[in-house]
Formats: sequence, structure tokens, C-alpha cells
Amino acid sequence: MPVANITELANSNTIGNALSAVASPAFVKGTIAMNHLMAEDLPVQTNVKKFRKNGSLVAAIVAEATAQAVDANGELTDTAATCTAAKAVVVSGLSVEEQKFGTIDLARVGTEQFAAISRYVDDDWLSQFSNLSTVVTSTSVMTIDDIMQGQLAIYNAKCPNQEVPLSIVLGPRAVYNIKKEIIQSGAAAFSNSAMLGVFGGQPVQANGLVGSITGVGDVYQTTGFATGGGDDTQAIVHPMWAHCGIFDTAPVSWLANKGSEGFYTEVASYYFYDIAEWNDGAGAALKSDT
Amino acid sequence: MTNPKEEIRLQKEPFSTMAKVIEKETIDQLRGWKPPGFAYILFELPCMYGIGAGEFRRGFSLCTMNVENRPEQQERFYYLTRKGARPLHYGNFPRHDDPDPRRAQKAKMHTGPDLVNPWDDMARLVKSQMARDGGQVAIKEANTGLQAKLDEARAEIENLKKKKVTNV
Repeated sequence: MPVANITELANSNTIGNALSAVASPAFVKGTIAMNHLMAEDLPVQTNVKKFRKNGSLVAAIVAEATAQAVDANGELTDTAATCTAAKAVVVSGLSVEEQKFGTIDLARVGTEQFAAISRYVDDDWLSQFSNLSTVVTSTSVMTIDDIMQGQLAIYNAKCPNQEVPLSIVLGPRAVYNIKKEIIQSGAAAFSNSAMLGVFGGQPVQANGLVGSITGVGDVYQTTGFATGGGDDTQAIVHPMWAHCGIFDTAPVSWLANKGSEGFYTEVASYYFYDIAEWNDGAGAALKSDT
Repeated sequence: MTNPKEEIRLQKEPFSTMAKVIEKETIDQLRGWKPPGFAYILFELPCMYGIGAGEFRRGFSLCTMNVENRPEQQERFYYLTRKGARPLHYGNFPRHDDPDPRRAQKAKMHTGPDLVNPWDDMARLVKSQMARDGGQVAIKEANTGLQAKLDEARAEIENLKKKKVTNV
């Protein structure tokens, strides 16, 4: 009985007919997470890393010749967010027929597996937007004012490094509505170069960058957000302090040739990582119609 | 500005959760809510809502934690509960006797030599947290009831005072 789910000759485009010079890439989401969180290496001899959060003290004024006892204002307490490495995996089988006569080889399977793992890691980050305690829900579609309210919340929380542009991570529909708002806001604004930043130089760059909203942050476009109540849960986050993660240097692939189970090569890839929310105040969820 | 899609959603019945929900905002968010296809834990998360012009108000939102491929996420669970999140429901946890053979296999693959399904461990954690929260919800509910009675009594006193003034 044949083994199920093996990549066989029939899965590939073989040269019974001539093949085009260019193959269309798979229509899957792009990955953007790594630029918007604090990334560190995996720890050694443990799978847990604590991302430290410094506490602070409170000063007071005392009258002349008055004693000041040690009190809660002087007690320094540090806390931490915890990342526990987990492994994202993909296992594929490539039949010997496919390897001999087909157009999908082991290198291609490995590359696709790595891409799948990176999408999984990306979605893990996006899913954490719904954990943020500050939420701006659009009445219907995303507006620049909604994004600015998110920025206000982050600044109100006294998030450090306010000189760093915030990352605004939106879905295509929200980006469309932001662009539409800018275009429809009137000829004066449309001809104002400061307002045109969100259009960038090209529609969407490889890292998801669409452009910048002057004085607010950089807009990135992706898909795969958590949804609820007819809304996508997108976010505006501080790229340094909102989320943290531990990441292996690269995925690892194993090859194993099979015989008695069916003639195929098993390609197994794994990647250790974890992502956690580091500072709740450094991000705000932006909910708008899916 | 009203959103027709939102109006239709608000007509629907709220999703029935394992834990009792008393906040109207959460009940409204559960209207038309569809459980995800993966193993999940649904939380009610206290949050601040931006309501325009730089104003914020306290409220509640829903958030789901994905435990489909990682049952051992107690740390994340505790992190959310420390933020005040309350588990309302969980579902789609793979079981050893799952009718879907792939999910049954997944549960068996994650099971260690102690033969304990890690999703069962997570379910126990969620249930114990729900039980702990249940007491708080009952107190909150009782407080709401007493507050309503107090408001009613105050309104009655005001009415009686007005009547007295009219009689004089």
C-alpha cells in the first residue's frame, strides 16, 4: 500500500510538455515579524529565556531635619517576560521517481519548508496583537485617526525611545482605506508631500513596508491576523519594546532515505523559537473590518 | 455613523461559553462569534478603548490563545491572567479518542511516557482558573444587583421628596 502524502511525480510539472522559463510563486503571505520585535539568540543549556523589564523608583521631598524611612517608593523591583523555545516543524516525503524524473528536488522541498516555518513564526507574532490591553476599534474601516489614537496610547504609557518610528502593521483592506483617506482628503493634502509618505516609492516592498505616515510611523502590510466580531486585529507597536523573541540561527533539515515504507526520501525540518509580549504599554491593537 | 454589518452581527445570539459572562460589552462581542478551527482558549481581556479625540474608556475585549500545536503554554496563560484576562471557553483540544484520526495521532504524539495528554493538563488549568474566577463573577453580579436596588431606592426617595414638596 503506498504511503500517503508523499511528493510524487504527479505532483510536479514534468516535461511531457515544454515548461515556461518562469514559475509563478505560491500565493502565500509574506513574512515581516523579525523587524518589529527584540530578537535574541536561543539560550544555551536551557530552553527558557527571561526578557528583563527594569523597575523604577519614586523620589520625594522631605522637610528639613525630617527622616525618610525606606518605603515602597524606594523598593526597586525588576520583572520579566518569559520565552520558552518551541519547535516549528514540517516533514515531507519526496518519491524516488520525483527525484529521478520530476522537477521538484530535495533543495526545493527544503526551501519551501523553511518558508512555511517562517510564515508560522510570523503568524504567531500577529496572533499576539489580540492580547494587547489597549484597543482602538474603527467604526467601520481603518482611518488615520484610529492609528494616531494607538500612537497616543503608546506615548501615554511613557514608552521609551519615542524617537523610533512606530510599526503600524495592517491588512490590505486597512492599507487601502488609509490610502483612500489620504487621496480623498482633498487636493491640498494630496499635493502635500508630507501626506504622500504612506504611498512609498512602490506599492509594497519585500519587507511589507508600504510607506510612512509622517509623525506617526511606518506602515507595513501583511495578512494572517487574528479575527473576531468581524474585525481583523492589527496593531501599532514599538519595534523595540512591545514584543520579544528567541530565535535559532536557522532551521535544521534532516534527510532520511526510506525503503521498506515506500521508496522516498523524508525531509524533516525544525526550527526553535518563541515570541512573547514584552511590554503591554508599547503596543495598541487596531481593529477594523476584515 | 452606523455600520450595517455590525448591526446585523449584534442581532445574533451570543456564543455560549463555559464560564458565565456578565459584562454587556463581552456579551455583545460574543454575538456572531465563531470558534476558530484550531485548539483555542477564549479570554475576556480588560482593556482601554480609544474613543476618539484622545479619550479612552475602560472596557473588555475578546482574545483567543492558539494551543493547536503547543499545548505546553502555561506561561502565556498565566501572563494573560496576570493582566486580568478571564478564560471563558476552550475548544478543539486534540484527544486520544478524537474522531479525527489525525488529531488523535497529534494528541498521542504529544503524550509523554506518563500517558497524560498535555491538552488535558491545559484544560485542567483553564477549568481551575474558571472556578477561581467564578467566585469573583458571583460577587460582581451580586454587587451589580445591590447597586440596581440602591439606585431604585434612591429614585423612590427622590420621587417621595418631590411629592412632599407638591403637597405643601
